[in-house]
Amino acid sequence: MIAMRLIVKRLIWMVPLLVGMSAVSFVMIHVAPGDPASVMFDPNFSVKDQALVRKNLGLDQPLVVQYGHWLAHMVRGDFGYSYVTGKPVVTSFLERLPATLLLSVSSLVLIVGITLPLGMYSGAHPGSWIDRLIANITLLGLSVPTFWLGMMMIMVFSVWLGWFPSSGYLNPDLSEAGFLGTFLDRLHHLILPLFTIVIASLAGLTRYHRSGTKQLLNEPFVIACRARGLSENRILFKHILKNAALPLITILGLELPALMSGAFVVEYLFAWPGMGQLGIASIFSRDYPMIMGLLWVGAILLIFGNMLADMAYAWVDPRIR
Amino acid sequence: MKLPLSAWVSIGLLGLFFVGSLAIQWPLKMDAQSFDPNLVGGPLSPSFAHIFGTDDAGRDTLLRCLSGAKLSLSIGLVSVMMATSIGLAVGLVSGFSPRWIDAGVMRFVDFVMALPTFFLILSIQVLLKPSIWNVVVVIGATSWMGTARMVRASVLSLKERPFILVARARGLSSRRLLFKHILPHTLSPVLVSAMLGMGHAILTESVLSFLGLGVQPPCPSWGNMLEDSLSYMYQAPWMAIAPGMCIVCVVMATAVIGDAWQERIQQI
Amino acid sequence: MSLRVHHVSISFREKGKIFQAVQDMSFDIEPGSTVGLVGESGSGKTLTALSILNLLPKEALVTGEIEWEGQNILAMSQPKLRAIRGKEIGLIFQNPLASLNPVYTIGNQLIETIRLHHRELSVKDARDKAIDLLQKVGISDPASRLSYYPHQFSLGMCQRVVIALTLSMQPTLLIADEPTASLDVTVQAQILDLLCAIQAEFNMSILLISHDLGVIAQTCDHVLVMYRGHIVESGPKTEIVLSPRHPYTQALFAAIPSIHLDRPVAVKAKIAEPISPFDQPTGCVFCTRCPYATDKCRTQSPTLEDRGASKVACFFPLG
Repeated sequence: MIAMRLIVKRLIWMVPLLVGMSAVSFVMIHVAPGDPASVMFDPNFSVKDQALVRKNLGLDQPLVVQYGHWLAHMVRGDFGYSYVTGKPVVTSFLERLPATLLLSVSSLVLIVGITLPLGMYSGAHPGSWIDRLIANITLLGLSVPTFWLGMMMIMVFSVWLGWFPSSGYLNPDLSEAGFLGTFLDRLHHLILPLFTIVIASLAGLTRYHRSGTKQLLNEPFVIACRARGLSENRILFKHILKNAALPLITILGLELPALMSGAFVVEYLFAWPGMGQLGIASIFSRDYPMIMGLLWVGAILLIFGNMLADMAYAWVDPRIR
Repeated sequence: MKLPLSAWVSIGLLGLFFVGSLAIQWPLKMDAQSFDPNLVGGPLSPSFAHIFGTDDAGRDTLLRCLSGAKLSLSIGLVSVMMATSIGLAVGLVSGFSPRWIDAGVMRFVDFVMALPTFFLILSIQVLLKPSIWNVVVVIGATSWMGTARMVRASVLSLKERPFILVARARGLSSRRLLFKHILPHTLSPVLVSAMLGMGHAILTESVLSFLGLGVQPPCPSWGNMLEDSLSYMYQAPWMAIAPGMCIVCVVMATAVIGDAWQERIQQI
Repeated sequence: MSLRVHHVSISFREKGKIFQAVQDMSFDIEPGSTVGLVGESGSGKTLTALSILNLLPKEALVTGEIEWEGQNILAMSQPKLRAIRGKEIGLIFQNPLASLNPVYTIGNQLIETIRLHHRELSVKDARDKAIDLLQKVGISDPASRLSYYPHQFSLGMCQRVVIALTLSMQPTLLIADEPTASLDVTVQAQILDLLCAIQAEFNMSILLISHDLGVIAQTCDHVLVMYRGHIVESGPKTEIVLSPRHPYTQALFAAIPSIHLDRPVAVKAKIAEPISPFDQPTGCVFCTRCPYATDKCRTQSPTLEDRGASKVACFFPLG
């Protein structure tokens, strides 16, 4: 029931957020030096032609009218047309979505799957050599810029060893390799970008999970469990794990933007044909409808991510249900 | 002050970068932007004359790394100072104001936190001409929310602590209460998060410069050096390794110092 | 089954210095008896309780012997220890809410503990037993309460649930560490009554730890008085209450606020200078606060010696 209320609350919260954010970016784009239309002009367009294009795009109207117009379209899911390709923005998004989903979902699964055991072992054995090893590795992980890690991955595994391709999504020669062949080839391409994201994002979460587990180790209820004769493993896996998962869920929700930005640069670096690469390309070419659409989608994704985190929290913790 | 060895080593490392970056500019009068015309034409591998090798234009990598250190450290420092002061101000105001102001301010903080910050930074950098000051302001303006939340939470909990209630009962004014009794208690954790924030700011700056949206060439920064190195990954790996190691060392140093500090706070 | 604590000392090493928390403590608990351990906070009561189940943190250095049925608990293997924990010796903590896992229902925690020590029981039988136990500790409508989370109970109710958890294995010794300290006075009395009732029903012995002499005097047959890690007086309740011999025990009784305003004040302890826990004063531990302290008290430390029906660690016992 409370979960329902959380969802509704987040959804209502989404309205001012989207309106506010799009207004800010809209004004910024239009106030910044260089008219949005100027990027599409050929240098030898006549002034008259330019005015015509502006009129067709509605750029001659007052900003408020333009914004209202644009917002009305946005709400209906019509993000306009790319200045660069002329294709509808939504179509470009849908083309890019599978690649991004593949990368982000698989990295999220791996991150959680590696963080939980690593942090838990570390927290349950503070001061052991494995704990110190994990602490040092995560410290290194926190300090490495994602894009540089990616570059090093390419340098070692692609340039020197030649094990994995340095860029792309699918080998074009393999277009008729059948299901299994395509799958393996995609996996082959996925490994480097995937592990770049995973290694870069793992460190922070593992440290949080470690300190959460370590703090719980001396909680009265854990000592009470011991006093009732429960085994250490049972205490760790049943009683501590669920409690330690709580801060982890919050952190995961808060880290979503960082995860997204990491994925951005990684997609760019590995020429992974996802939304992030599209985003950076549109920023460079000042493709405004695309930029606005991406900001819009990014904000919605963030809200949904936080909503999921809220729900997961409520599901685990009976006190806020 | 009692800090673990690793923290002292980190402090020393940061100092080394700082002194090194000043030294090449002042006593040694070396210019990281000029290059030896005899060497133009290709990156030279590491040698005695150029310990970390040279880049494609024949410029010494070590020299440019040190010159980049000054930029990275100052961008990190200034943007963190900006973020910390905004965060402190917002947090204190929010924690000390009547509930409706507090609620309004916190909604605003939520709003900023819900923005896809990185993409927004990129867009802003493209719209305004990329410059060092823009980088500083943009990073500072998008990374104060954590501090604000932390300060507010600690003010709220301190307000209810007995020693504050007692001070209030003694008739101390709000301002005195704020600056003499509450601020000092919130300062230590704020400084710790500023230390970690500096590492974060340096990382963000490097990404921006790497994408060509931060510090502009020929002015060397670790990020734009890495961008240059992209096309020479096969011939000149040192061009990619040296600046990257600089980033890792400096960010790691801030993290180690922050951790050590945190530990000290918890012990007291 | 009886517990024998024999010359137990507990110390912690911190930054090269040694902190003696409990020193050379010995006492016995006979089957069916109720022993009270009284002392001010920081005197080592809780550490004593934890040491009996070998639950002290790893940093603690423990010497001496704690014998349960003739076996030394301190030297026992983990599996053997786990069989004793809960099943033979139960432990109740001060804060009942904190000693229950917040994210599981009390039914879950009860059934888990029951099935841990009675492996032959099915989940359904364990459930029935859990309902039975909740009924015994005085929780109404026990069947539906099984699906409640700890935060949905009041503190007093939580303590009842904790007691039910401990009873689920029918221990022969129950250690209750300040079981009523966080409760309202009226609830305190109910919980103490409950403890006495289940003691009679299950024929347990109880080690009741409290800083409250009233609680101790109400329930125990034997009393141990602890001061800064030392037992300074030990004896039958009547003896301790009616004729306390150690100046500290007297001071404790004198410190109980009375509604008879004209009651003559026997002994008042001097206000203590703050002493670092690392400092081990030579002589009697109480000499810095004792109104009767002499030079002998400051240089030599007294040992527990028989004085009438009780034992006192004092060179100049009163009475």
